[in-house]
Amino acid sequence: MLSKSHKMRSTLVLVGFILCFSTIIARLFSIQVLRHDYFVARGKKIYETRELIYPKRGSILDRNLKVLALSEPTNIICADLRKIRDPKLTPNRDLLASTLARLLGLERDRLNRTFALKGREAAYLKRKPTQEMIDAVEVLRRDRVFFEAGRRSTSLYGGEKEFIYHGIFLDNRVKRVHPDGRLLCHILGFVRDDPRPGKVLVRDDSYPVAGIEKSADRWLKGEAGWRMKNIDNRRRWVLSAQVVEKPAVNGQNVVLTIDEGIQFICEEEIGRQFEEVACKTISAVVVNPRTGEILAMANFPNFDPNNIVEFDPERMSNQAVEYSFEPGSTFKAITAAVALEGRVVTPEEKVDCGPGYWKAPKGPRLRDYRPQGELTFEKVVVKSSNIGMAKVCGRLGAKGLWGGLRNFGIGSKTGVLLPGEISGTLRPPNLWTGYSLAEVPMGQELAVTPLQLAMAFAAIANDGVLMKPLIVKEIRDEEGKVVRRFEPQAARRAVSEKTAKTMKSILRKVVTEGTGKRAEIEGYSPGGKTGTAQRALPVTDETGRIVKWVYSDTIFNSTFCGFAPAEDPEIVILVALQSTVKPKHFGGTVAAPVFARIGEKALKYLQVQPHEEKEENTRSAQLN
Amino acid sequence: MQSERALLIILIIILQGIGLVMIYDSSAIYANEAPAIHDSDFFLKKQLVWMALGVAALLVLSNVDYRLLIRNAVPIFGMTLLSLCLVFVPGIGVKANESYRWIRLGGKVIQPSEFAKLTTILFLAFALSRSSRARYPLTLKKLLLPLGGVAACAGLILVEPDFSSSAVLGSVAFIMLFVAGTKLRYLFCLVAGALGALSYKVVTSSYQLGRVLAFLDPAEHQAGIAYQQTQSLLALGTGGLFGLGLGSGRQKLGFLPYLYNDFVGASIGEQAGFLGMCVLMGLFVVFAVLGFRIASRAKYMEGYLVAIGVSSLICIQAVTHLGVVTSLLPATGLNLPFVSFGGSNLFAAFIGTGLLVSVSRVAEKETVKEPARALRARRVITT
Repeated sequence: MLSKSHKMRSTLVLVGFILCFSTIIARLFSIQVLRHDYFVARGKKIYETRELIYPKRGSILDRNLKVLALSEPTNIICADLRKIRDPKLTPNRDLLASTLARLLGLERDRLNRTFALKGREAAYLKRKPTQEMIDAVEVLRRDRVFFEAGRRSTSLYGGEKEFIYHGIFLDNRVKRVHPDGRLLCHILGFVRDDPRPGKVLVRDDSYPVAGIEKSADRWLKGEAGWRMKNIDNRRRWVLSAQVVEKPAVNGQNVVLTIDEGIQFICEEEIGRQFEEVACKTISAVVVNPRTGEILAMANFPNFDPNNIVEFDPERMSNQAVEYSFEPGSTFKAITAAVALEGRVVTPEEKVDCGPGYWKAPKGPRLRDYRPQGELTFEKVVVKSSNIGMAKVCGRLGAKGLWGGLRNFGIGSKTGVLLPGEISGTLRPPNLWTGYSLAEVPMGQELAVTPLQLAMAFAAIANDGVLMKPLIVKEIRDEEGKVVRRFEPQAARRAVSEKTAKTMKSILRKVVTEGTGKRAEIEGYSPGGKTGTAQRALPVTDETGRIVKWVYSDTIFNSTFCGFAPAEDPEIVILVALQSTVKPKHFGGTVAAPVFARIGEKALKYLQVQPHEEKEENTRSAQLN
Repeated sequence: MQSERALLIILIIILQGIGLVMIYDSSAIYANEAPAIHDSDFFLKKQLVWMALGVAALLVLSNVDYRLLIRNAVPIFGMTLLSLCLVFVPGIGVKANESYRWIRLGGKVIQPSEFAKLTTILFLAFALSRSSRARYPLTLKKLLLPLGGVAACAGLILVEPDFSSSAVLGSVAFIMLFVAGTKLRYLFCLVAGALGALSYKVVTSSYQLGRVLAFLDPAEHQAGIAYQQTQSLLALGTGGLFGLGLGSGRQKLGFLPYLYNDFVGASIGEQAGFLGMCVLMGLFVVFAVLGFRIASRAKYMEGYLVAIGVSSLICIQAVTHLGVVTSLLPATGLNLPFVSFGGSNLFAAFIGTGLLVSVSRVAEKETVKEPARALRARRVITT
C-alpha cells in the first residue's frame, strides 16, 4: 500500500535521526574523552576546597625538661550578629546582652553596640574565656527561656535536633600558656595571632613576636598540612570515601640551657633588690663558663606573657641583650687582662697613682675616689684606680687595646639565639681621641650588653677561652627524641691561660680585700669586679633638642660581675643595675650583695661542694 | 512482528529503569533540602505514580485499534485546543516561572502541551491520510486543513510561552508532512516561513536572545545565563570515559538545578561516562529503528503516519535534550523521554508507545488473516 516514495522518505528521516545521534556521540567524545583532563581540573576548583590542617606548636622546655611554654586548645566566644539581630530568632536581645555581660564580665552597653555593628556578620565577644565562662555559655545556648522562638531544624534523617541557639557560639582556638607566669618572660617572649592581612585570628599562637618564640620559630612552628574536602554548592562539606590529605607536621620542642631553679633564684633576688634600691632596670645573667651555656637570664621590671595587653611594651624588651651601657670599673677586669696579655705590665709592677688626680696627656683630668699613692698593678685593679689603669693601658696604644677588647668579643654580637641582640659600641681606634685611651680602660666611652660583659668574664674564668653563649641546648621531636644538639663552641682564645689565671687571683682579691667585699660567698671564694659608672645624660636646649651629653653626678650604673669558685669557676654571674641614684649607687653595695645571694643559692642548687678544707689547707700552707 | 513489540517493551523498561535511578539520585538531596518538600523520595514517588498510569495507558492502547482514535481525531484535537486555552483561565490554569503551561485536573497538575503533541500526530495522520488517499501528491488546497490545525496548536503553545514544545510540535508536523509525500517546494516555503518567524521571535524576545547569545559565547556568560550549560559540560567532562560511578555525581549537590529533568543527560554522563552515554544513545537509535520499521510495515496510511510521528516525537525530544546538555543547542528545558522526571511527558511517551504497539498489532492481524482465509478455502476444496 505504501509507495516507494513513502518508504524512501521515511528511510531518509530515520537516517537523519541517526546522524543527529552520531553528532551528539561525536560531541560527547570530544567533551568526555578528549577534554576530560581539562574538565577534571576545572571541577577541582568547584567541587573541592583545600582545608588547612594546623600543626601543633612545639613547647619550650628548660634544661631539666620542665615545660615553660606550651600550646593548649581553647575556645573563643563568638556572636553570629545576623542571628542576634533577627527578632524571630532572638526575641529578647536586651536580656541576652545583660546575661552575657554578667557571665563574661563585659559592659552591657558595649555588647549592645557590638550587636548593632553595621556591615559585620560576626564578632568575637571574649578572646580568652575561662572554663566557667565556656560552661556558662554552653548552658545559655540550650536555655529556652532566652530564645523561645529559636530555630528548630530537622536532621538529615528526620527527627528534631537538640535545641541549640546559634546566635552565640564557641569556636576552637589555640592559646599559648606559660605555666610559670612571669618567670623567664623576656627569654621566652610571646606569640600572637597572625596580623598579616587575610590571616587575622586564625590561630592565637601562629605569629611569634619576641624571645625564643621568635628566634626558634623555625623549629617550634611545624609545618601546616592540608586536606581536600568535597563541597556542595553552598560550600558545605560533603563526606567522601577518598580523603586526599597531607598531614601537618607538628612543631618540635626547644630545650633551653636555662635552669628553671637558677632562673627562679635570680628573679627572686633581683626582684627583691628592685624593690629596695631605686633604679630603672636590673639585669642578671648566669653563665656556665666552660660551655657558654646561659643558665639564667633575668630582667626587672618584667611582665606576664599570659596577659601581655596589660603591660607597657617597654617592659618587654630583653635588656640583657637588647640594651647596652657604659660598664665603668667592672670593665677594668677586661682591660687589665688585655694589658697583662700585651706584656706592658706585670701584676707586681708599681704604678704611681699620685695624689688622686691626674691629667692625661692630651686627655681628661682623671680622679680616683681617694688618693692612692704608689700601687702595684694588682692593687690598681683591686682598689679600682682610674689613674693607674689609664697609665698602664696607655702603654698599649689605641690599636693594642682595641684589638685586645675585640678578642673578648666587645663591640660585636655574641650570636646568641635571641632576637634583637645589639653589638654594643666600641669605636674603631682611628676614631679615638686623646680622651679615649684614658677613658676606655676604666669602662667609659664604650657600651656593652650585659651578656657581652658576662661572656667576657666567662672567658677569664674559662682559662682565657671565649665561648659562644648558648641559650638553646637541643631540639627534640614530639616523642622526646633529640633531633639536634647545640654543642658548646669556642669563639676564640681571648687571653693566654697564664693571664687568665693571674686575673682570676686578682679578681679574687677584689672580693677579699678590695671594693667587692660584700660579694663574698662563704665557702665558695668568688672573684669579681665592681663597677660604678656615671651615666651620661642628655642636655637639651629650650626647643628640646639634645645639645650634648654630660656625665651625671647623681645617676649611675652599678654592676658586679664575678665567678665562683675563683680557682675553678662553675658559674659566672653578672648583676647590673641601671640608673641607680646617689647615695645607693656603688656597685660594691647594691650589685655585689645580689651577686653573693644568687651565687650562694645557685651553687648550693648545683650541689657544688663548698671547699672550706681547701682554704684551710692553703692557709696552713701559707703559715708553713 | 511480535519480537519487534517485545523489543520495544524491553527498551522502554530499560529506559524507565535508568530514569528512576537517575531521578532518585539527582533529586534526593535537593528534595530533602527544599523547604517546601523535605522528603528525599518526593520526585521518585511522583514518577512512580505517573509510571503506573503510563503502563496502564500503554496496556489499554496496545489492545485498541488505533484507527478508532484516528476516526475520532477531530474531536480529540478540538479538546486539545480547548485544554490549551484553559491554561490561561484563572482557577484552572497554573502559573509557574512566569508562564502558563499547566492545568489542575482532579488533584493532578498536567501539562496539556505534552498531550497536544500526540493529538496533533493523530490529527495530522487523519488529515493527511484522507487527502493523500484520493490523489498523490498532495495539493496545496489539501494541505490547508492540517497546516491550519498545527498552526493553531503551535500558536497556543507559543503564547504560554513554551517555545521548545511548539518547536518540537512544528518539527514533528514537518516530518509527517514530508513522509506523507508533500511536494518539496511547499516544504521549502514552509521551512523558510518558519525560520523567518523564528528569528523574528528570538530577536524580539530578550529572554530567548540572551539564551542564543549565551550559546554562541558561553565563556562570557559562564556565571549567568550559560551557568546551567557550563555546569552540564563540567558534569560530562568530569565523567570521562567510564564515569564517576553510580551515586558519585557531584552536580546533584546543588550545582545544577533541574538535574532530574532538564539535565538528566548530564547526570547520566557524569556517572556512567562516555560509554554509558553511548549505550543510552544506542537505546534511542534502536527505538527509532523499531518505530520506523513498524511504520514501514503498517497496512494503512494512518498507521504509517502515526508510527513515524510518534518515533519522530521521541527522537526529536531526545536529540534536543542531549543537544542542550552537550551545548550543541541553546539552553531550553526539554525532557529526555522515559528518563527525565515529568508526569505528563512520561504519560504521553507511554501513550505514544501504546500507539506504536497498536499499529504493529493491526498490521500483523491484517497480514495473518489472509493466509488463514486462503487455507480455509483450500480446505473447502479438498473436502
